[in-house]
Amino acid sequence: MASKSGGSSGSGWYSKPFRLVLIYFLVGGLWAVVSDVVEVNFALFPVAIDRLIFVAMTAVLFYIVLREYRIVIEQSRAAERDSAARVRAYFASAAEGLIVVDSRGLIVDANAKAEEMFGYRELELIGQPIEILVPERLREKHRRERREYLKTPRSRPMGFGRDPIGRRKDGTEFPIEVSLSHIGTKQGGLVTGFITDITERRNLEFQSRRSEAMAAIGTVAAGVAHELNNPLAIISARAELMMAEGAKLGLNSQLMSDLEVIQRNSQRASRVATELLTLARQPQKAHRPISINDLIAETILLFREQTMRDEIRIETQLADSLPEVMGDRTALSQAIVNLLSNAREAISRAGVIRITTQVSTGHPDEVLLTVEDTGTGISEDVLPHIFDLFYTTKSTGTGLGLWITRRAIREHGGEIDVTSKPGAGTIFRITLPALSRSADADETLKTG
Amino acid sequence: MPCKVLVVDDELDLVDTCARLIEGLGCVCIKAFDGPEAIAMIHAEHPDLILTDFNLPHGDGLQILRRAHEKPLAIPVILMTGYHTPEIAQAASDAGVSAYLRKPFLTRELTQAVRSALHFSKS
Repeated sequence: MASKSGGSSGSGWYSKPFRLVLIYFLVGGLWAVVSDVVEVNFALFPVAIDRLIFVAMTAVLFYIVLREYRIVIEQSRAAERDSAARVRAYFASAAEGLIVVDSRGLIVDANAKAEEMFGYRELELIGQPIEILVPERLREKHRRERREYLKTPRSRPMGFGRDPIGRRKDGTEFPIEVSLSHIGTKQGGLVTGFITDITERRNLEFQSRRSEAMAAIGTVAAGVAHELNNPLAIISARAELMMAEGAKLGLNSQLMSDLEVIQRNSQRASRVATELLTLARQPQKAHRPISINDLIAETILLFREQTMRDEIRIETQLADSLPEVMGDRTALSQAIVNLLSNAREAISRAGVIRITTQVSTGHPDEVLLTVEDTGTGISEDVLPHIFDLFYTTKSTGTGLGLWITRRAIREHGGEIDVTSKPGAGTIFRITLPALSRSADADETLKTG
Repeated sequence: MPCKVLVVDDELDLVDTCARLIEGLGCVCIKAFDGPEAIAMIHAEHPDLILTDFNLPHGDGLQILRRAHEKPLAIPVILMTGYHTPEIAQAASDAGVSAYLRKPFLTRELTQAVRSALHFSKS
């Protein structure tokens, strides 16, 4: 399709019927006259006239036939050219990227949209292997899949078990959707890929999933709040009534303080649902400079008693002079609590939870926090889902913990990832943007 | 103070708890467990005060409040809710509740609310 459609109009032997017929007439006429001249020296002239008329008549007929033939041929040629130009125009102006690959995996043609999508100049892709458009780590897999495809070529969407990813010339990656079709040609099989950049669609999907999730949390929290607060109101008020009765009867102080504990804790329990509601309502709170090291020390205090009972040792390795991060103390503390709870639950009997902080290597403006456990680990099929909302593998889990954790980290401009080996343990890595020293000083000036 | 208080909630235990607290103040307590029952009682018993939950079977606390405020009744209403939202609090305040209690409440919050509602309605 890259070749030029060449040739001026009327290049065939049939294109000048008049000239052809003239040649026929001259040769025929010559024969009609000369054949007798040789025998009888112009004596039979009228016979020559008859022959000439015959040649003239056939020449006219011949001319008409040839002219018709020329018209038909030229019309069909023009139609062919038109349709080729139309195909060419469709190809060039398509809103989708279009790439044609031959059976060796070399790009035969790519339209403007495809070049733009992948950041290449005009014609730069021609002759390149198709894998140039695939992220390095997926290239080998793509080659295999391509060979598989060629064994039984048919039109179908492309996928590597999950959504395909495109690689631009500058190395950046983006989600794409590809549908493949196979064309058999004289030069061998060609595979056409229609490619759509779905970055925007993905973002919209993410936004809508997020707001759906928030709405879901709101609904759950409302239900929980309502169902919990009624019994808690009864427990709390009855405990108070007992205390009032007890005071009259002179109940011993131990019983009185027990009742007071029941009453106080029923009030506390009701806050769980209330906080869940708050969480669904207003994710963003006031941010202040926070020392992650201090926050970890405080959070560990909450855990020490329980973990000692379970023969779990908490080790810390906190970097001195770690820069502070700007954030919401409650939200970040909750994130760490969630990670520690998970780590504790992952360890069946005895084990170690190791917490480290440091400035990210190569990123002096980033704080790296890791939480590592020697627990059961997370299996490969579970791992991609652990941050999903309401995803849980525990009988008493809510599927909220890690989702909330990741949301909190991302709201602080950070990221969280996880690596795990079944049987060996799990490591969560959190990066958070560090508060720069100068911004830190500004803050001190303002508050001081 | 000889007074009659209607307590409305679908939780029997909670109604009993509230009744004990209110009787502790020297009032007579009558009980209803859903919307229609409460409205029937308003007309049959003419209570001096209504203490009602917001979420009720077959109706809600605000419907009861509107019936209680109809002339010539003008009965003060205390609204309780286990599911507090700013919207519900706003609706309750717009409707003119005497007090708005979030469950779980402290007993003194309840008795305080009952006392002041009865005091205002008498004066």
